[in-house]
Amino acid sequence: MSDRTTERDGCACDLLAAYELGLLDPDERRDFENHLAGCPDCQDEIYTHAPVAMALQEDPGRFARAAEPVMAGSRAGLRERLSGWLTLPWPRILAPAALVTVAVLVVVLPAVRQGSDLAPLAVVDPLPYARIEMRAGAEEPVRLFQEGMDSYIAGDYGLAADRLTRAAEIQEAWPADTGPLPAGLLDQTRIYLGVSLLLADRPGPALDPLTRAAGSPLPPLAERARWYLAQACLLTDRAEAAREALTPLVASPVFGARAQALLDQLDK
Amino acid sequence: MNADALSLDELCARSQRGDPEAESALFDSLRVRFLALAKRRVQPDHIEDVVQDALKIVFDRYRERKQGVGILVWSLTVLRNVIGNYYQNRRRERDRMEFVEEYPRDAGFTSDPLAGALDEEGRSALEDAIAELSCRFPRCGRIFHHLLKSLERGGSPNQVSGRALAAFCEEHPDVTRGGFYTALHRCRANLRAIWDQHGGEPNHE
Repeated sequence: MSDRTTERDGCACDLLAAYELGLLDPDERRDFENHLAGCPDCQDEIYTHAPVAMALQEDPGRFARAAEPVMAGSRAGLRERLSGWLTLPWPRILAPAALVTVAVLVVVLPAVRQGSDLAPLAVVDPLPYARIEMRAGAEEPVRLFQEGMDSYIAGDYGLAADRLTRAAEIQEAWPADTGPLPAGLLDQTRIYLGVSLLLADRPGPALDPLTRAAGSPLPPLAERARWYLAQACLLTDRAEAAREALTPLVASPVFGARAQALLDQLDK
Repeated sequence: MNADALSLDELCARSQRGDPEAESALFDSLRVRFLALAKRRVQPDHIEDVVQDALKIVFDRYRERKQGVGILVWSLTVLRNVIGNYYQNRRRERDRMEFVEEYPRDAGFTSDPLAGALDEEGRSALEDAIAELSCRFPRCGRIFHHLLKSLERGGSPNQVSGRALAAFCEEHPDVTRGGFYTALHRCRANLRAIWDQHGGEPNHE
């Protein structure tokens, strides 16, 4: 094996991940196994992690999708810190339902707009959507919402925005005596409407639905709305409003690190 | 044949082609490795039994393992399951001594040492952990993504790592193969930490 270890950090242990995933050539494998024979730490690591390494090798396509990257932002440094994609626990909270998870291909809006100083900081990537089976009782609003989400999933964000605008209007005017809307439906509609508008490069109109959704009583929805609201503010050069949206997110386990990174950038 | 000059996977390949010398060298080597691990996990009186049980299963079944999975990683999974069974049996025995008739913790336990890497629940949890890794450490997400996509396409180790490195170099042109492996190792440590936070694999020990 070429002496990669001295080339890098001087530690053969660095090859452990490459070894267990089968990336090393035969000579490298043999040399690493010789190292392994005298290294209890590496032995324990491989032993403990063996089921995970095996699962990754047995079904790499499945796990590659989970690691779908985000090539966000127009500046490499910012992209590194700020990009990411979301996992969604909240449909389980909202839905008395079975979920059909929809994998959303990560398509990133190049968030640079001429004439805006803050726009390069914005990172706008699609919010993954998991279809929710709604209880009966509000068929029309639910149908409109799901039509909008069909367009969203298909990547037609302009059409999704139009349909979700209509869905939000119907829900806002929904008479109380007709029966309650599913919990969180209106906030969801507003969030996906806002995200669709951002992805359709219309950040101005996204401000209103996202501001409203940010007031949701359901914390997971409110957090997501605030995150996208902050992006909309950046894209429309509203530094203070972006700070205001980001500050409460610093404590969030989902958005905390990215919100703090963005606040740091804003301070600079 | 100089067995020391060959990796375990090469010995394994030769064994599968019917080379008894390679097979003997392979199992000698696995035995040494199993003993080292078992000594840190099993009571001294039981080390030999556990190692023999695991080696017997590996010997009987190693030809059937899925292609592409390294012999050491695969056989350590077997050893892990055998040690898991050992602990389950000890708990059961202890509880029986304490006149506990039912042992609900064992209800979902499979004693099959070849039960596989992770069950469906474990794989879903791993997906979540990888998604969280991508969210918290985007660079790691990209490294795993490129690598797993390349693994999916298959090929020799050089082809797999070469493709993954080439994809990663589009963003980081200065990265060497060694640097890529180092970065991968660090990302694995991050994944491991997240996996452990999520509860990871049930620890039978």
